[in-house]
Amino acid sequence: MTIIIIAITAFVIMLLFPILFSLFFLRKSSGKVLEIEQTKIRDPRYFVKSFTGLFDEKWADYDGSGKILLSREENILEADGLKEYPSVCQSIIYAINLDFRPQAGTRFEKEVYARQNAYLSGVETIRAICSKKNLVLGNGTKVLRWVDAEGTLTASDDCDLGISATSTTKIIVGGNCRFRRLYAPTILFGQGTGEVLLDECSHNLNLKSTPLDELRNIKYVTNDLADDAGVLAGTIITIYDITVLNRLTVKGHIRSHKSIRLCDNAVIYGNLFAEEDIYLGQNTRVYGSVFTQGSLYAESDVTIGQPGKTKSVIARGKVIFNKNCRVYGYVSSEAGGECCPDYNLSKMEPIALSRPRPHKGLLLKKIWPAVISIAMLFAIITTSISTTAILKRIHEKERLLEVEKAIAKEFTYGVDGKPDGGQLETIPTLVTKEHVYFEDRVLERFYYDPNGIWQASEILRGAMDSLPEGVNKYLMLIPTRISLEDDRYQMYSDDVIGAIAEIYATMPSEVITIDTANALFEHKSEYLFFRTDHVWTALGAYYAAEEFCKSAGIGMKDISEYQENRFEHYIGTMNALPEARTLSKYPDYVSYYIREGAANQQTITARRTKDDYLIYNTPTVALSRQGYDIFIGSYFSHSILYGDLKKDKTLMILGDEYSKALAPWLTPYYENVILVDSKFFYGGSMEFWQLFSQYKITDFVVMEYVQNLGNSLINTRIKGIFSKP
Amino acid sequence: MQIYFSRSYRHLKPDSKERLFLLLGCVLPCVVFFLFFYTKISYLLAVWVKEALTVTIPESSLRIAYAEFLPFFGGVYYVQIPSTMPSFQEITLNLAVTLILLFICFLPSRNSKGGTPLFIYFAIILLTHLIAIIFFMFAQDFYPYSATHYSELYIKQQVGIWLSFLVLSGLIMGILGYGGITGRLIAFWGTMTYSFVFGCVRYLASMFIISKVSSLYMAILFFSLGPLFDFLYLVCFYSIYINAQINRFDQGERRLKWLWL
Amino acid sequence: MALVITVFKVYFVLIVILMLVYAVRHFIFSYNRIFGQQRMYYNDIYDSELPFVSVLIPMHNEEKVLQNVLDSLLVCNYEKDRFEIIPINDNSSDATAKMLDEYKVRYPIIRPLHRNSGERGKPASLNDAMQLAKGEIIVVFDADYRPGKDLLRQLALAFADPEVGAVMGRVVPYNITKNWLTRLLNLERSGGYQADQQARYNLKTVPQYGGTVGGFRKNIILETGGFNPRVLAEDTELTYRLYTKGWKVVYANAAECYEEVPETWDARAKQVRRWSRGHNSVMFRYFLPVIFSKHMTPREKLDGTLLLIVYAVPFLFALALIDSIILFFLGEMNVFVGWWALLFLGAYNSYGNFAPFYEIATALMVDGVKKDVLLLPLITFNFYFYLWNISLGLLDAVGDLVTRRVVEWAKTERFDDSKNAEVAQQ
Repeated sequence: MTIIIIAITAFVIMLLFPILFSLFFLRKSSGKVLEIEQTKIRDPRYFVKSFTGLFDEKWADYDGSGKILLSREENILEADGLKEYPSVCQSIIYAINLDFRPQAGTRFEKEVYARQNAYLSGVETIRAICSKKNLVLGNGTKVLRWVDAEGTLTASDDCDLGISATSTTKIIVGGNCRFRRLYAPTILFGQGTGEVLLDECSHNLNLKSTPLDELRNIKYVTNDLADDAGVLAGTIITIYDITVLNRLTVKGHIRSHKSIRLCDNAVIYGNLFAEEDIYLGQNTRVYGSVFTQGSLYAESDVTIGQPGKTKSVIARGKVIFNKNCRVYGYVSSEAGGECCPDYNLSKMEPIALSRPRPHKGLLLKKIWPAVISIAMLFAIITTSISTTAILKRIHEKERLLEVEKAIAKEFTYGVDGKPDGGQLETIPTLVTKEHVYFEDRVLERFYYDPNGIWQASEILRGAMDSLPEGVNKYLMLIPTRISLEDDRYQMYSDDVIGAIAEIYATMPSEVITIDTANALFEHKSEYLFFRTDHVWTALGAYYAAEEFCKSAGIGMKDISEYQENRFEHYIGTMNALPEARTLSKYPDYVSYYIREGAANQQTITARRTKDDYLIYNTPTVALSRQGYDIFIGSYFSHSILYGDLKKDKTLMILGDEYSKALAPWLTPYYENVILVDSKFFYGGSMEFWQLFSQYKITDFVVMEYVQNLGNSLINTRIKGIFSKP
Repeated sequence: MQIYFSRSYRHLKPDSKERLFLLLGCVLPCVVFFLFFYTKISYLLAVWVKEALTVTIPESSLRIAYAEFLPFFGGVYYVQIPSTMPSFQEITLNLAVTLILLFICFLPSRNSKGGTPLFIYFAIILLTHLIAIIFFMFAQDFYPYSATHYSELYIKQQVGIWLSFLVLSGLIMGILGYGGITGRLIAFWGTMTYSFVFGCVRYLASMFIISKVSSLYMAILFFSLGPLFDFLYLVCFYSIYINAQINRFDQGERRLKWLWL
Repeated sequence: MALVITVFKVYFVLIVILMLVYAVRHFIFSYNRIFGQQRMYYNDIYDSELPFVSVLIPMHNEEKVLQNVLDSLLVCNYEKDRFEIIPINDNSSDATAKMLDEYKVRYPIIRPLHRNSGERGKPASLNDAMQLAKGEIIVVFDADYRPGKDLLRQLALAFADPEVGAVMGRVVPYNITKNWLTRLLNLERSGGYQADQQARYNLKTVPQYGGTVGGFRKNIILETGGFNPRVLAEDTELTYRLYTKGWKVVYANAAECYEEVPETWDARAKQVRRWSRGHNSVMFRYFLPVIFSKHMTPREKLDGTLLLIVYAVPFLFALALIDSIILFFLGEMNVFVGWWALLFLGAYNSYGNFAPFYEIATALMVDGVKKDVLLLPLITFNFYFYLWNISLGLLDAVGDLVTRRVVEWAKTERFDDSKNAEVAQQ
């Protein structure tokens, strides 16, 4: 019982553990609201404003000690008056009145704040720098974080502009420069002078005032679509790659689910949005913003935006500008931007856009959607196939069941209920100590144990002696199946009949012994025992009952008065034996017999009290049960059956599972038949004798399966039952 | 330094090696092993349950039986136990209690602070039980399951749960998991160990209730304490694992693993 | 009888497959969110020519909270000559009208619309306000919202893309400390926005316009007849209207705004039931148009269809639950035991159509929210809560369809906002 209690406790704990665990944390932590920076606004010059704002505030309290407290204490050097800087400068530099001109070969690991102009020539790296006027970065300068100028910011060749390069006036970017974000009213790439501004185009670009037609899913903007002036008035939304041919103008926006390509001299009045790369040919102009989830490639003389307005170039991938490109506003490139990469500006030749440059990432980008799509398709296909297969199987199973039923109805069973209509197997497949295995059945071996026989005799005699006077006493011992089998198998068993006879011989004369073995033997070719179970069939029980009735002087009804019904496909307890691998292929069937008008055949609801001791009114044929459980139902302590007779004639059977198939045959001849299970009777002798006297038992049968004779548990139980209170 | 968009865009790089190792080196072998050995496992479980139940049920009425399951991989063993039908008093008592509890669940004036989801859950379970009660009241002998049959049902379901959880937790830890292989393995094995133990004790508890009390509780056991509660602990262990990862990825070196677009 | 049982079994199997499809869908979303490449939103764009925006704020008896939203909008960084605020006083009986008029006097940018008659409800209010609105872009906020300074700009930027018809931001509950319901709703919201919506945006399926913290192009709505007052879920209806006509909805994950979630199960039940009713009405209208739309990609159609039926699924699931009980009592469970029973529950659990547990976990991982993930097991029983209330909502929608009855619009109950708002601000 301990194990069960522990298991149930563990089960309850494990069941509730996840919930209790969560509840514990619910109580323990109150939860934290996700913080939203309500006051945050995006400012392209955020870094410089943040730094200079803090610096100016702290500078007001600076005491000249060489240290200033910003977000933490920093060293500070005032640049005015400094002739030379350390080669690795780890202080913040503040140049107030003079231009900032450090010597070559210096590395600045802190910010530089110049109130005048700043000229960096030969400086290797600088963390961040801002100038209130103009700022020039010499060749090869590397900015680690940000750079800002309120005047013109000029970056010579081979510079790295860090994360953010901003200006309130202009940015000029040299060749082979790298950047992430740029912001200025005018940004010039490739050190072009940018003198030619787009005066002629800086007005009348209000797209909103003109209702725009919408063109969908086109791949080319050709002359056919444009008017005579080469202008297409309309917004293009397409799922394809789209190309705007040379010298055409689109007065609208372009939105592509793939890439956009503008051939040389094309003009777009609105915005460009693409999921993949954007290619801008020579001298193209886009007056709106450009946004791509891919990369942007701009050939020379490309203009994006308009003077006096802020537009943006945003790319998830790279942004490459060639010489003489202009952007009015903001450039952002997550993968990094380059200006005139790998070109020597002094030898610049105009390069026509020929073929789009393949992006390395393009192929990889497409793999996952394809993989997922294939996986889903596979899942759908396999699910559909398996569903179809399962439904087919279900249908097949049902059809087979119907066929089986049909077959069963025609009673085409073979010997001992063998479903294929055949004979019994003759060659054992395995012989163990306890059993003989055939493909279609298992036989229990009987071992003669003189001690066991003697003990059983003693107990049975004692039981019979304790019964009161006037009660008719009967003893019925049931042989094993093997004793009814062919002679060649008798070598696997000791003499069952002899053992039974030996016990019978020890009984007092008033005990009537029932010659069950002989009764069965006469009908041994019939289906008397199950092949897959150790118990007998209702037919076997019938013959035993017939023998009993003969001995008791009862005129038994013939079996023909009963209607045979079957419970098909019964696989009994022998199937649980590990060696019985093929038994399930040869199931038994259970016949049960109903006689019309018999009172005991009603399926009455079983009742049961809490203490498990008493069970009443079990049906003799329990139609809701399966297999051998059809008889009387499950394993009850004891059962009271209502018979057909209305006289004071009651029968009590003390027996094992064999009694369940026997009892229904005897109910016509008694008022009650009380079955006391020799294994499961939970009561003691007091309860037994109470039962005995309550029903005024007139006939008493002790019946045992011969294999149980030496069973000490049963012997003890019988002994206990019959001990006088 | 990266400019990042905090939580708007950040994501992780999938660690293909660890994922493949977990899936192919741990989960897949476990699944294959289980497929070939679940018969044996079910046998051992059946033996254990049978031994435990012999305290209250006579040994001779307990059997270990075999039933087919997956075509190629073999069947399952289960315990045959005696059925117990409910008495009329038991049915009536259950009916009364169920109706009272249902009334409480549907009580209109019930304060919503009481936790409505729980009440709905209990209401559904009680309605299932009510159907069982009505069934037993009017058609007891047509009840399709014996305790043995239920035992077979249960063990098949349990084996199915173990197999599915191997796959499911493998997929979740393997594909959606992050962090080191150790954490994922611990989470995976923890979940499966818990699942195994839980399945075993639930089997014993269910068989004990069904055979000792009555078959009236079969439906409620099947529907209320079934796979839903298995998912409960799966989610629990997963949440513990994720919580650990959230903490780890919030500090130190792991913080650098985040990609910002 | 055999035919009936077969029908039951087939239905059972079909529902399991449907659950599996959703589970796989959410698995893909979760994977994409945590490991996939995130699709950029437009909030990096700097543009000096932002569209004129009309901010519409439907109000019904909002005297407690309206100051928050108006004060927040007045300090936002959107150019003051490029937007207007139109609070819509919809038949309020409290001091809402008076307070709005006071604001109007002080701030010309605020132009309240007072509706004292006519059809009540959000769709009708919006229709009326759109007639007055000058902006080409309409942004809708709820009265209890507290938009950040940059929120309006973030939303407006999306319309630089000519294909965008609507934009949706992320709502973040601020009253999560109230009780365990609000804590759990916070988890669901996280999963739904941070993981689900963002993944749908990444994968170019159908991010849903949520009706608030979002905006849309006015002309599209007006040209297609305005909002339908008969539809409770006007936001869902807008989403599908846009997609079937070739527009897109984009999701702005960085455009975050605080909102209040229901604090009682009663309020939540009503809210969910209303959502279900509205959503299912939209499903009846748009199921076939989505499938036969010429403008939607196959991926959008697939996800759009799954999204459409998401509020019908609990009812189908409930039927399958009843189905399984019937099969059980008919003794037919043997065929399906173990596998299907498990998949049946398991695939949906996943825990439902709002956000499965692994999706919520993904979202919390990305948000870096500690400890709240340990509350996931408590969402178990929400599954039954939603099963019940969403099923009722579907039945309401079916009733509406069959009887053609007029739906009465109701808003979610407000709770004591003052303390929660302070918490949010901190």
